[in-house]
Amino acid sequence: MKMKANTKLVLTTIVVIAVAVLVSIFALSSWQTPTQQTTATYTATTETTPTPTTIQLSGMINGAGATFLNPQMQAWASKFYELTGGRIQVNYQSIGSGAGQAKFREGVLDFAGSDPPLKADIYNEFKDKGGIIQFPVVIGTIVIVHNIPTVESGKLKLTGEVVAKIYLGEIIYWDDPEIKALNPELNLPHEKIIAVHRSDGSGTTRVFTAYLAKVSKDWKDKVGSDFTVAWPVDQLGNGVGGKGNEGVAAAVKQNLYSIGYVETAYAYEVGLKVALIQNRDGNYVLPTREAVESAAKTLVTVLPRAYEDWSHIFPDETVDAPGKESYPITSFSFVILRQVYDDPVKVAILKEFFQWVLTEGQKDENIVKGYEPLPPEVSMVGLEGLKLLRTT
Amino acid sequence: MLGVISSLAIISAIPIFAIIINIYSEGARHLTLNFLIDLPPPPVSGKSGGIGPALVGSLILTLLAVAIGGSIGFFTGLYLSEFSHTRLAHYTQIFLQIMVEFPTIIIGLFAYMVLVAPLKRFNALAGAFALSIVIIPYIALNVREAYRSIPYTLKEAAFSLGVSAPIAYLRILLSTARRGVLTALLIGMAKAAGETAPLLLTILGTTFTYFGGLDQPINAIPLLIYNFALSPYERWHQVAWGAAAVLLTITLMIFIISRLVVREVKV
Repeated sequence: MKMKANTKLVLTTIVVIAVAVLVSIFALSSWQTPTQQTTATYTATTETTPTPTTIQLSGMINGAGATFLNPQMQAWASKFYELTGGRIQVNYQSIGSGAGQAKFREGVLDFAGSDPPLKADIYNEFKDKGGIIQFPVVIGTIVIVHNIPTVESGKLKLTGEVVAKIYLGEIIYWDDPEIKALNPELNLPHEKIIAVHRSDGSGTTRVFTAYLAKVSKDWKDKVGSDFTVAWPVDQLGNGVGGKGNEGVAAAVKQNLYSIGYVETAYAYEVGLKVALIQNRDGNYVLPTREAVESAAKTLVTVLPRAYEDWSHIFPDETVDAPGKESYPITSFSFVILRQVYDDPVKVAILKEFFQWVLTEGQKDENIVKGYEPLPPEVSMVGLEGLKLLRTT
Repeated sequence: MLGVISSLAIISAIPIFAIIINIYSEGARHLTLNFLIDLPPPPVSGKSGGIGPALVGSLILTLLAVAIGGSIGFFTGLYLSEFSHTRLAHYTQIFLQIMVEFPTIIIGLFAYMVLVAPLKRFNALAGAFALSIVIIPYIALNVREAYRSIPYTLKEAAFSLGVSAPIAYLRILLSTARRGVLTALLIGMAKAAGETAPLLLTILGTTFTYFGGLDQPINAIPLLIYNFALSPYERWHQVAWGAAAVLLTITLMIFIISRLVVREVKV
């Protein structure tokens, strides 16, 4: 009896688990059909619209990537959700440019947001898979922020070389002669500089280190530029890592006598003190609209096509742009798409949304504080590129 | 000596009260019906917004996880209790005890590998799958205790009726063990509702979509708290506080229900 009961119970258990597994497998395999139905809800408009768009698509597109782009992307997605009456749901999650590119490579995202363009190796990988397009959606700037109680925002003057030396661990105290020489009028304390940097794979780090590499040969030789780098200042114990722009901003706010680099939007929002930085022409500048527009003029001269590899140009060639007013750490923030998607509805939604982003989305009322809209010729790169989207 | 020990016991309970007071003092004012239903707000603009998609997502994920993890965990626990002498039971028990301590982020990574990467999309099922793996050991070990606590004479009596083993275990003896089993499921539910790490790599999160299908991304309250609390925007911080108050309320409610269930069995 006991043995029999044992066998029966084991059998029942196995059957139940098998049924559970089968049900989930069935659920998995039957997904294709209901999915297509849910995403492909074609709703014919009753009124006759002058545009050829007589079929309105509805559905969700999923993107992730740059934390920098997040506030702006949420603002666009929210506005577009309203404009389409909830028809199109753009879902963007801020996981960092590095993670965004990696997940894009694995094919689990419809689009990626990234501060630098797609890495060359991923770009080449997609050549056989129908290719990618990438285009700027907004202009971003990185500011050097600090937390010296005795110094107000917009007063501290720094050069790229000095910033590089701080992160190299060669300048340790705020009253270092090199900093004092730039700021004779400021009362700088004899305190150790806590250098805050990103701990995660970050497009902000990629752009910031590209700038340091351009202005400091030492930095270029010893550290270089990447999504994450080995920070020399960490080895001295004076470095602090923060996750995301949020984390760096918080770390600078919490640590007295710290320095950090964040996207401008975050500096404004958290209320951090911003340092003036010397541009190539020798002037000390803040990321004002004029300073960004001046820098963008140079960016415009080197624009590739959306389907081309941008990795060798941005950001290494474009940081530290010439021009009297130019802000030196100015860069684009990119959106990266595959050229080929399985789902025609997805293609249509991606086109509709990003066309809006590159036109209406660039108007002042749709741009969040801390970002700058694209010059028209830059928007054209994306608008042209979107024509390449297609289904298999 | 006793004084020292009792004061230490009191000290260990302080964080719980501190957390409850802190969360409710910051988040309680957000607990309105609209907050539970509305879409999250954009970072800057007039609307106050809510946590609708995250709440719906959390409910779906938790129920799915309890359905998957509960059924597997229940039978595992039953097996462990009734066939504890077998070698399989011995090793299963060891593995379950390891699983209780397992880092949940690794379970999330596993779910990413088997359900997100092959399907080429972040999806709700991967999240529910990861959560169910997290809660299986809790449910199994608690169900084992529930069946173990049934007096041997009662089990003998059940089998002496001449019914088959499934009927004896699932109909006659389950009615005796039901409070313990229910508690096991409630503990699993509370665990599933509050976990963040298994969701980070599986469900992606959504902004406007409440539920788009099991193969689509979904949001959850812990994930929303994680994302919004890290943001630089005061408005999102407020939403995170409100979401924390909602999550705490859900957890406390499950806890109170499970205590009531246990008390009933003692009377």
